[in-house]
Amino acid sequence: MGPDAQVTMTAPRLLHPGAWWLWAVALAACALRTTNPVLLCLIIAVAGWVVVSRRADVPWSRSFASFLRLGMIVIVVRVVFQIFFGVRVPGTTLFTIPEVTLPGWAAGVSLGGPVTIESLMAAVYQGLRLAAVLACFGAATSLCSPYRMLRALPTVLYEAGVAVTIAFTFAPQAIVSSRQVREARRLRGRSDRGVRAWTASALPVLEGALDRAVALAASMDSRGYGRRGSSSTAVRRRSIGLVLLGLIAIAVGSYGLLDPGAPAIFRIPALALGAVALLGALIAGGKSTMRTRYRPDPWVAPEWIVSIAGLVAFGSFVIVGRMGSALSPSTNPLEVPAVPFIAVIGLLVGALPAWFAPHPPTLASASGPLVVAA
Amino acid sequence: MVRSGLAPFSGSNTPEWPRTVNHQPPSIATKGLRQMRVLQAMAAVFVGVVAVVSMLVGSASNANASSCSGPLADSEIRVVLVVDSSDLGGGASATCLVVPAGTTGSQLLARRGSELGTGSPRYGSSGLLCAIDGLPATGCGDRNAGGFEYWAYFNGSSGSWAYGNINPFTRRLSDGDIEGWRYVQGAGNGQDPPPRIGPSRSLFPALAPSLPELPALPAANSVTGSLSGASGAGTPTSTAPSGVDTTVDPITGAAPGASTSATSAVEPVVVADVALASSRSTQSTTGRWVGIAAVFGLIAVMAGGAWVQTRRSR
Repeated sequence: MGPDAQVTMTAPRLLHPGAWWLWAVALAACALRTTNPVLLCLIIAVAGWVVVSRRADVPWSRSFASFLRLGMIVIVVRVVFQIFFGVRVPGTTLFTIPEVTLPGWAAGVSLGGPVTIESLMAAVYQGLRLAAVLACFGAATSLCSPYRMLRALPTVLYEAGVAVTIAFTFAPQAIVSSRQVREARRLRGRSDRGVRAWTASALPVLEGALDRAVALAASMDSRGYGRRGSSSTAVRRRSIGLVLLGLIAIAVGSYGLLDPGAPAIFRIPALALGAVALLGALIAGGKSTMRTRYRPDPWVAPEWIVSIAGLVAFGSFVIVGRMGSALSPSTNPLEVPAVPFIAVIGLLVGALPAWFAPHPPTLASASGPLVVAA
Repeated sequence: MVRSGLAPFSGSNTPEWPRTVNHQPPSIATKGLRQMRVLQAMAAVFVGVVAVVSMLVGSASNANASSCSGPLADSEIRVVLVVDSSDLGGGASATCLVVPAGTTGSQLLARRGSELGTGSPRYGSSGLLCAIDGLPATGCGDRNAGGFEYWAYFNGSSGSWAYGNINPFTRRLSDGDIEGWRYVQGAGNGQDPPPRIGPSRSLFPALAPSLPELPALPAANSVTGSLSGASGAGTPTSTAPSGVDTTVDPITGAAPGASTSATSAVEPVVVADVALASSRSTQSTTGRWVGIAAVFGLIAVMAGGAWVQTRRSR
């Protein structure tokens, strides 16, 4: 089967990981722009729906449920912190916990005091926002293979080879590791549920995941990933400096883009500076090394649909944010959150990958080059 | 140099480790089911919380209070609150309030809003004060070319305004305190301008029965304007807009010239705007509930569809 036969709209294949990540990051950016609980729940539902529709039968595809659980823990922790240390927002008092009077130099901090429904709702909204962001990243982790994502990374990031490998594969490796540890506990006749099982397996899980990620990075390094080849020291230093500058500028720029209150210079100018620096590094480094790619992932119509669906959702949130305050409903005074129609439509467009992305190939199907290669 | 260094990691969607871990065919379906249960549980919890909150909000109550010019009960204190929203077209006003001892700066602000009928102050989710009397209508401490636009907090108990690096949620008031808020555009430090009404003792009606002089007041603000008139125009639902004999209302209830002597009026236009805005928001509440119900219906459909999918793939 030639490469042309793979890239039809309907044939089972793995979508380009960059498309899934772009879609997930766009949804996460939507979540970061709003504290509207209705929209946040819809974002989580859309991410979950797409995951259930298009995940492959691989170990890391189970990570979505873990991310959802993590999100619920985040909400609970946020609420508990609000109750004990949060700002004493006035309003309808639910109950009062003993208050500790702090000295004058700690005037901005409160410990205990009346707990109002307004403060709790604000905490739930903020926790829900983080849970939605976690769900989006859980969706990306479930939907695409971390190894294929590494392959698709731009070559300038090879400079940070080991760090990038560990960063991208730690979460899926942790899922796999936790399954193995739980299985081992079951085989020994111990319970794999409850708090004790969790505390007993947390350390082996983290250690195993880190070991796997480091081993993967080492094996990739031994196969030439991240090597500079025969380039001179001066060229290498220049490109490393450019990569650092570019990454920092892009980090600042994406922060500015996600935080509507950030100064304008931290938005597009910072992103542009980062892009230019990375491009410079690419050119500087690309002169001395040439890389080939074995069976590259295609970027065709389904990839476009998935990534544009995410961007449309993000665009709808930007528009709604410009139009009014529907994205951040007031919690003091408490109001019923409005449901902005445009944002809901945008999120429904964001759910389109559930129909338009190709099905992943199943291990049971004997046809297809992907399975033969195994 | 030509490399094909990534070959071992490419082309295959099978994992690099033995697949025995993964050899549990039914678990995808059960996992999916569990996920959907988690989703459904989150939706159910949220709907429940919203229902409880709406009931609680509906049953907000009013407390009794004494008049600012009359005698104080035990554990009551008398505080003057100056609010200057001139930069937003709202004017400056001083209000004398009788509140329980231990009231915080933010509770005082909320109390003023309910007494004047101008609505509760709006806070951001971080606890930052965004709007007093509905001004500004949108935004919260936004930054632009001229610096931050925000409500600056001042304390005038010493006789001059001191920029307050204090948390209004934790600051406890004592008898005779003068609190000030001014909407400013500035760097967000002590250099920002104080309210245009000076923190004079004469703001307390009983301490100065005669009409006091207000220092540093711009001509645009009427010193002698009656607060009860403005509040009566703005709040048709107010229980006791005027009259000495009312038992509920402390500020507006006292005779003009006594308790309202030191009060400059909130401009009627602004008050009317605020009243309009609040009535609009109560009217659209039903529509909002319908929208929320529609979205959660959508989420339920998605959850049901996902459940069917996982069942089929079992």
